[in-house]
Amino acid sequence: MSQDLPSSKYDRQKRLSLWDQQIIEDSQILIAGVGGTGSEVAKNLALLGTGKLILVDADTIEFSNLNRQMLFREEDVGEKKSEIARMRIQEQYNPDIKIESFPDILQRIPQRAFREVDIIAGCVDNFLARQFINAMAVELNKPLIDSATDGFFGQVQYINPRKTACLACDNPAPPDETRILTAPCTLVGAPRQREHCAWKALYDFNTSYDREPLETSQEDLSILTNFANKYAKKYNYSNFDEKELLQLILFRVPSLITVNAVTSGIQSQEILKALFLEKRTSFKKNEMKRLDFLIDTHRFRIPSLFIYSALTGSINTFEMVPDPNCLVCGQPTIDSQTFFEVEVDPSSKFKTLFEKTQPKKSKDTVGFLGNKLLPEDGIIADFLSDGDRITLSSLVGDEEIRLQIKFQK
Amino acid sequence: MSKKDVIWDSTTPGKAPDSGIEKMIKVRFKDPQLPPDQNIREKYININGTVFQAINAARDAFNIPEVVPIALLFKGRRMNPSNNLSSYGIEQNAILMIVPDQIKGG
Repeated sequence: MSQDLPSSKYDRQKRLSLWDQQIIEDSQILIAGVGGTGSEVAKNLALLGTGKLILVDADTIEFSNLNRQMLFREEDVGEKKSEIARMRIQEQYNPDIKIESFPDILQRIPQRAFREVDIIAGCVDNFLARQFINAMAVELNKPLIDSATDGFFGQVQYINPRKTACLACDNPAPPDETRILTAPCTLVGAPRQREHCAWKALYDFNTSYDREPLETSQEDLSILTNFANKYAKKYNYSNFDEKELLQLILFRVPSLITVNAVTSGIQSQEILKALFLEKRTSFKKNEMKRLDFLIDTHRFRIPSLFIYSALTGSINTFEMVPDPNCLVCGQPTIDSQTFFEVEVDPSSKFKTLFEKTQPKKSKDTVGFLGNKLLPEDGIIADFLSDGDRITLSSLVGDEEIRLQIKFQK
Repeated sequence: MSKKDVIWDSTTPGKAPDSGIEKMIKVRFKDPQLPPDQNIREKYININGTVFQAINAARDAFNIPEVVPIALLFKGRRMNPSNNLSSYGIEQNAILMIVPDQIKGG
């Protein structure tokens, strides 16, 4: 029996005319969010034979996740999603894959996690995290394939920094809850709308118990409802019920595994294509020629926006054009915020670095790590670590440049 | 659309001095989720109005309820609801694409 088995478990995909398994096995992909779409994407990439995955998710597994997040089981409820996902993927789908997991919010993971990957997959469930990943992708010039779902709808957006529109182009309006969250007056003043009573109730809950309410706790929901109805009564609004509060405050968008599977299937496929484009020169000569031909004849392309509607069964694609004045990927922003990598001898002094990077103005230059001044005569290794980012400012003008320090080996 | 729908805000950049004057042009809203023979509706909109007003016109054209968040795309740009329509260089018979907005779950 074993003699009849193909030599590789990737045999069927290797038979594709445009394929290089080695490119996939050498690749590293960061998956931000391991929920409904993220766990599907992680599973797909593991089965494809990806070399390394970095999984980031600060959330814990909830009972209501189990209808669609196939990496998790009932006994995992309460555990960290990223940790369980790592274990399950290695156990069930690919024991050879390297996986690093970060059970933390995206803003707190080391920046090298973003820097060392080839592609970033955005599978998060909120506007602010999505904007953060977008800014990182643009700053590090890494392709980002972002996905989102809501009930019967799914969308996938391909961000090729400075070539296609990013997620901040044309100032997308943040969802209502983000707008309310960023308006502190809503929390302290009189509720201008009925929904504000729910927000004030959440604020009261947080200050009274110093924690977030638990979706699964009947007691927490009752307390919240009482707080909200106290305001509703005082300001002449109709009362809330617990189900309504749950939707208003905890933003549980409706989710279907079928929509998640289609959306993350599209996302995984586009990640694969983006990877092939990134590593185009690694293909064998003939394969590269074939790929170039397909690209030239528009038979290989990554649309910048896919929208899937499960209600009509349609997948529509759109080409999104960058906004020249975008605050994240617009040229003026790029010029002022891009970090330039500079290789330095860690035993040298900052003076040498200033002379190297600002040859004509080195005497009028000061360096900062965050808000800490870097002394001209200081030894670099005493103040900085490999990969640190510093700012050089001119003492005579407004110019600033940003450097990423790379230690010479 | 009536005169009272025209919003004059002198602080909005890019507004022409005569933007308080209503100037109706015909645009074509396209909802790609509908079958090809039914997915375009023509509508007159005030080019000196805001994108928000155009979104409402699109809702009206396709009977899309207010609770469904939608956005308009024009030549690959997502139109910002608070911007003035004239800042996008929309001309007669322009196609404005309707897409679902604020899909955010993961």
